[in-house]
Amino acid sequence: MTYALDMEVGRMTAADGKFDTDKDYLTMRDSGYGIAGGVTWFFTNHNNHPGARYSVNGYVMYKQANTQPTGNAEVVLAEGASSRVLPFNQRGITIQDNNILITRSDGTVVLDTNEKMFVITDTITGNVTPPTRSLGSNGVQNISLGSVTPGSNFVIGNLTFTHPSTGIKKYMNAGGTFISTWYKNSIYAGPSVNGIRALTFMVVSNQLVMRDNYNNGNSSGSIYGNMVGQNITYNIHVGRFV
Amino acid sequence: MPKVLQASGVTGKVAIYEGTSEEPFTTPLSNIDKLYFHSDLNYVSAADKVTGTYTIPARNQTIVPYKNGLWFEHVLFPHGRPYAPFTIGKLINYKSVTLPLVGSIPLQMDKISLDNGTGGNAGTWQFIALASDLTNVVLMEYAYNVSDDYGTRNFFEPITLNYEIVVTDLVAGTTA
Repeated sequence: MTYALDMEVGRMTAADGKFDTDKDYLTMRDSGYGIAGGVTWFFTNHNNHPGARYSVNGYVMYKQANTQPTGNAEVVLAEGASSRVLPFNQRGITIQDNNILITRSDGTVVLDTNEKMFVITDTITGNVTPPTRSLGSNGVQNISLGSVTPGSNFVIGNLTFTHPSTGIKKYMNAGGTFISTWYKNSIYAGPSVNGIRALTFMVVSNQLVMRDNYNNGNSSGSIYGNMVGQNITYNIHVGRFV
Repeated sequence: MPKVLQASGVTGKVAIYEGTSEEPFTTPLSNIDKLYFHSDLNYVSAADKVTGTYTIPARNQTIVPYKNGLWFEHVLFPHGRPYAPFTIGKLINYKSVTLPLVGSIPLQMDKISLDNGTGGNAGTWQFIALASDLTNVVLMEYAYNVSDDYGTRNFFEPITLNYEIVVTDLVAGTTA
């Protein structure tokens, strides 16, 4: 028999099974896995030698240049609720101070409403082609993809990447910033790259946008002219921790 | 503002919210800033957790030609589903840091390309990104060489990654 609401040691099902702690819900914890709420790469907009910096969770790599970019990514860590085990005297079902705590008999947590869990509020799918950028141009453009629930700003989901050698689709985790272009646009020797395009699916003013951060370096003896955008298919879930 | 735990024995819905209005209980998405929990929300769950070790081999100009970038695919494990699942993950103790696998992650850059000239430097970089297809969970590597146009010097040495990947209950894609 299915109950509309069932609470027992080790499990809660509610809303006719829509919520079921047999699923291991993603819970905000410092020991977890990354969910991004914006850019993870930062750039300067020098017209030929952009600085680049990656900074997530204390890990930093940067490309030395005339000036250094600054910034740190907003990345929250989450993992399944069941990775936490409570001592014997906290096991079972506890409803206290308007919170619900449920563990299995071995102490494994299946629900603790004092912890925040990741919730999808909006799903937006489609495809987009970043504009062609002319030689020497650089800047940032937010390309709007749709409205989202106010207050939701974390992005999960996928963008589709077709492997250039095999032609097989890869569904890439769409959180954080993707380096879609990284090249040296000069026939002369030297270790710098100056053609960079970084794409980030993120929320700005309650809009899901694809942020196009581009720099098509205008070198002497340029190899490439225009920076051509590649069509991207996306399946984005925007959410927040509740 | 008072914190309220409310349940309906008819619909089975349970919510914890703040305030005196029942609106967060009846229309949760419109009042999500007032919620601590609601059984009607679309929570994401972890279906499988897989840990492992993978070594990406060395790169030199015979593999990645000068002023070229190439993609390489690294299979971490088969996920056993008829579709591509959405995955999240992390690298453990990579250069003493737990590194979330979000976006393009720079693993290595060629030290020989470092200089402090006005032109900037360090363009020979190696990136990875977490992905899946209909069969496997993979790391996609992009390696770009602007250091060497001859010789067999490794500008990227082999690098061993300790990973933890969570396969979620979300479908990422269904076509190959």
